[in-house]
Amino acid sequence: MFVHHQNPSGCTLTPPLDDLDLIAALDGVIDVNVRAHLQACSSCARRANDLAIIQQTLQQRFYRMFCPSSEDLLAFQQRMINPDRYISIANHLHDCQHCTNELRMLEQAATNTGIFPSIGIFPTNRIALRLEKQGLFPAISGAPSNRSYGSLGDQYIYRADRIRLMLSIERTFGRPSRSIVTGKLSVGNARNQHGMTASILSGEHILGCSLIDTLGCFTIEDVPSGNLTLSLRLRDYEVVVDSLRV
Amino acid sequence: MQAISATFQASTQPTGTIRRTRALAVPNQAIDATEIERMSLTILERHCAIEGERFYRGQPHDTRFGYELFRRALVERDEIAWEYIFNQYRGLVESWVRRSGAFASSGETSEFFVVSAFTRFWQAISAERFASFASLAALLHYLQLCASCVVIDSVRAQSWAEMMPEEAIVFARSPYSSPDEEAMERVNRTEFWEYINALLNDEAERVVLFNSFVMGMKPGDIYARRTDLFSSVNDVYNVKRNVLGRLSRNQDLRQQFDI
Repeated sequence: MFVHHQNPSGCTLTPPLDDLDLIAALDGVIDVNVRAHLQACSSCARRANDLAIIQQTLQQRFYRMFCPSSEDLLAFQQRMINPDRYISIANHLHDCQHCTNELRMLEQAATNTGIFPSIGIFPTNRIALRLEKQGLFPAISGAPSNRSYGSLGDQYIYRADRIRLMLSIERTFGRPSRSIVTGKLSVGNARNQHGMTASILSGEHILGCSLIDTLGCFTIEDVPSGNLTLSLRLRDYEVVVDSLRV
Repeated sequence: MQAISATFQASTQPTGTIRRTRALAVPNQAIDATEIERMSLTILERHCAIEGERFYRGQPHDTRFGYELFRRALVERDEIAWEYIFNQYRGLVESWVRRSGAFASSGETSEFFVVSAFTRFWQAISAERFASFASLAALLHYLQLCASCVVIDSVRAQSWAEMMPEEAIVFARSPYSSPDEEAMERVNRTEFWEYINALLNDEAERVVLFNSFVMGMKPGDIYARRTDLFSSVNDVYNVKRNVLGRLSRNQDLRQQFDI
């Protein structure tokens, strides 16, 4: 229970709040009595507001104003920086926990994961597609329309759950032992697979590969005959067609 | 920079075209460095695709083609080579970004970080600087660090958001329309810092001001760090009260800096 009276600071309640109470409240250290006082006393609320404005002004202008940019921090980590700047950043790191943490992030990136982290990059989940249909289907969307090579070849639809692959294998004109493998992949409603790759393999040997475009299409030319494997390396898994007869 | 942004845009838009590759008959060992330098971009891309796939599969791979592609992109500023690099390595960069502890809480898409990392890499490595990267590994290592940098910038933006209300962040960190504007802002901040410093009385006040508002520390943390200067947390609070009180009573400060 507060008692109302007027003290020199204009506070109408007792016990009056001093500046230490207000600063602690602004720093998030606030007890229920101080909170109740600020809700009831407009004079102290105004003083708290004045202090908040000056604190905010100082934070806006000064927060991390001496920190090097992330580019400079990177240059420091790489030692690709002039000696004066290097010493200046080293001194700054002595005082700044923020930059020390960020430098640690850079160092971890440089050392822990390695440059060629082959383990963990190649998807470990392997999904084998099964043949659903074979025959003549409408042209694979996105494929070149005026092909001067090859005859109309075999067409297939492969599927596994929500993954669907339309595949066309055509002989190369004038080179009957070589084929062109064209495909269009769709993975349910998932984001596009742009940047991922399609490869034709004979055992472990990569015979050819191609990037998959934004429409999920790819073409691998000059594929030799044989019993081969088509591998589509996506972000989280590998989709394969085993025993692809070309 | 506009050109490179356009390249990113172009490379992420559906084109309806299909990339093709031919199986390469010539063993890589038989291809010497001069031949690689003279190789058409299309053939170079094919070699890169296959070597990249070997790398992903943990097989022995030849990095000379990838290095040459980077050279054409960064030294010759060949945008087609650059677009290919972006497409070829974006998956790798995305995996680096996703591994970063800060990514999950960033609220940004991995695509945002990937594009930012490539942009930073492009800006950082000039034709002259390319010579200091002796191998594909060194280039990718630097690309990896650029990815970390953009995550760090995101962490910094987050710490700003936690430190200040949104309207204050807009005021304090609005994008500058020109380098002059940024330089002016830096000068203004430095002048303001010097002005405030001149109003302080001693080392304790300077330590409290610096740690409270430059480092964003609470009084308890300041005390823990400088027990040589303060005998208790209350000491820190007292100093902070004195400083803020003095500043808030300073009419000149209020007028000059519109507080």
